[in-house]
Amino acid sequence: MKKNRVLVAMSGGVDSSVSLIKILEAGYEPIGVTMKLWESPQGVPATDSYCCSLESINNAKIICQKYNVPHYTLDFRTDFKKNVVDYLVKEYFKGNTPNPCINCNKHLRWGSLIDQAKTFEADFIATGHYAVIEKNKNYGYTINKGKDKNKDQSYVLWSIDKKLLNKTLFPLGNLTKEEVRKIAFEHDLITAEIPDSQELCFLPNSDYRQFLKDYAPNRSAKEKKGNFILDNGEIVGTHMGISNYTIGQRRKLGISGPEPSYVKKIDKKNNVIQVSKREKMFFENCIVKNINFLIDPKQWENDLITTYIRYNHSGVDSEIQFLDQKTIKIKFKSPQFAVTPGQSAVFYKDDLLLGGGIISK
Amino acid sequence: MIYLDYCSTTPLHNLVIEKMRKIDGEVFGNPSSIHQFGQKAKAIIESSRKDIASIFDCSSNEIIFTSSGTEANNLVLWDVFQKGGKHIIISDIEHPCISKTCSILEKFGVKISKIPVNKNGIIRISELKKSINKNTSLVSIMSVNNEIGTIQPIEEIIEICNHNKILFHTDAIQAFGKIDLNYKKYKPHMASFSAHKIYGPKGVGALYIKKGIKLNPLIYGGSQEMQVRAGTENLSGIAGFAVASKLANENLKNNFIKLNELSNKLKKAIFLNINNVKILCNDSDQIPGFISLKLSGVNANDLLIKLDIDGFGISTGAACSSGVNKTSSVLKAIGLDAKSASSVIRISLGKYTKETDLISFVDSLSKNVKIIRNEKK
Repeated sequence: MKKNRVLVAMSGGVDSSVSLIKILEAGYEPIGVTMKLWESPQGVPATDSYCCSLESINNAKIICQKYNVPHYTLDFRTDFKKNVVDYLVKEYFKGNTPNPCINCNKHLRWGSLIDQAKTFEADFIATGHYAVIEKNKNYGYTINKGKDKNKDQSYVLWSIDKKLLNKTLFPLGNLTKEEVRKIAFEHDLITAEIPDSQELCFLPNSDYRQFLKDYAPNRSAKEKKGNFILDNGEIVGTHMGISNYTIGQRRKLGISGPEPSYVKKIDKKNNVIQVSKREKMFFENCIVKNINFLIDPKQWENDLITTYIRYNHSGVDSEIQFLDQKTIKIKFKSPQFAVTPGQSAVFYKDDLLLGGGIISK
Repeated sequence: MIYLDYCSTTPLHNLVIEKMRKIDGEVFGNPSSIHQFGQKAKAIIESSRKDIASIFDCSSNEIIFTSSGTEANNLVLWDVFQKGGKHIIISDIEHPCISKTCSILEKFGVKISKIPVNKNGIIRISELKKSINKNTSLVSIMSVNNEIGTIQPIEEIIEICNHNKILFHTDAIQAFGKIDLNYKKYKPHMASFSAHKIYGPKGVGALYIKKGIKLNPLIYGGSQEMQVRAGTENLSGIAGFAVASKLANENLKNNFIKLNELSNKLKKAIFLNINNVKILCNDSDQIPGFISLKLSGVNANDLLIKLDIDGFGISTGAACSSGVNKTSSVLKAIGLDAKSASSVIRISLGKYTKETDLISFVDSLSKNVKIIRNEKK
């Protein structure tokens, strides 16, 4: 019988290497691919990041060759620049704090890559995300949190088109990171000891502020200084341009006082940043736009759900209310610190991913 | 798996493997040593040199060995800089080991002129004549292009260079062992060769330097290779190169005829089975076994991968390792825009290509072209 063909996304790290092994064990016909997403443009210092480097591509090639699996590098730089980097820059200049992984998954993995799978007559794509896809009799294909709750990556998967879930495999969903490393060692993989990446793949030292200056020097130069104000409107300092700040930021504000100040609200229109004491940084609700549901909200909208307002957030019980077809209001059961426009609000019922959207205010 | 990318590199000929294994197993001396261990090694290098010299119809002290064709080309170009030369003329379709090296030399103040080619990839002689001036130190034009296989009118170019008293070098890496390089009237002043394109080993090249021309080394150190290329010689590699060269040149005519027949059959089958396909360049201008196809509406990279999954190794433009797609400067030079260039594949046949391989290749090619074109609709 003809085996099902799978495009395995290989970043050259330990997770995707073990994904390949699991795909082989499951009896599929794998094809390894590394997405070339980014190359530092001239004038932007090269990142030391491992992702997309020649070394990571070469490691993916070595792993694939070990199992006699073909490997190709796919040049997606144009798509990545347009959908991820330029979006990120635009959002920061608006005063928002974007999460580029959301767009990367939507437009690159479940966009360019899944299109490529069709060209290569592959039945599935497989990625090394720590999340589980299941077929549920009520909901169809669903995404659930991964077995390793510390590593769970379902948060960054809310933006995927539900129709693509039956073409997607997450071979690591039912493994812990520890088990993944163990498999890598048992198979003597050269990638077994590569440390987990901690930073955004294309930002040197995760320093987005420096990146904006290097990548968009004209827009950075045009940005004007403005005032820091208190809740009552009192001016307490000067900010260096709104793209330098994120909600909840405490450091590098240059505001003196007995208690630390936090960025509470960024008002792009008036070029003003409102700061507050910690106890005034808690919000009872937020508005979420650009929503995508992986499970029809009719099946759960009246239930108590858990909302995560950032990666590594511990989650908060909440209720949702539709304002219109594309906008919802989340009411938190307990007020939340530093709800940040641009970040994703992601909804779950226990481990089941319901959907998500972008926090607008 | 069927290999149809002989212009990228070739498998080793059995006799080459035999010779190299024997030397690797039996001879290890340093050719520069005085003792008998060294003498054995020295004899291998020198007889290999004689073999290659006799093929190129020159004397053995006009041949030096290098680590690659790329190194041989670099050696020639950097010599111009070391001697304070001011102007080099190359063509628009040179291999990156010429064109990129020249763009580096440009940063060091050497002026570079690039001669355009016509749509068949043949250099425009009138432009060459116009570019020559009193500062011109070197003209370097490849004998056969690596992406489109076109053969350049080398003797005509040499005549012009001789008339103007300018040194002429040719990158003959794709030509050596494939076409007759025994020029009737004129010989180039320098010519670069490589072993791995003719069923010899990787990591060995050679440079012909006409008697009377003294080049400065690119790699300095010991006095090997008539003091032009330092470094202990790649003993078995050089011996393998000599065997491969002899075999290739002994069978030059037969190989030529065989490859010509095979490529004609392949072209016929392609036209019979695939629509909207164009073969780049006239075959009368090309070495046989070399086919560049433009397939409208097909992304060549996708096609390459699909063919590879089916078991056929071909290429698009020059081999590239970084994973980044770039428009081929050669295809641009023959008048293709970026979109057309991205739909060009290169098929190159060789010694071990069988007619049955080509039949199954055309099946896979026509199937995959259809799939890619249908998807776009």
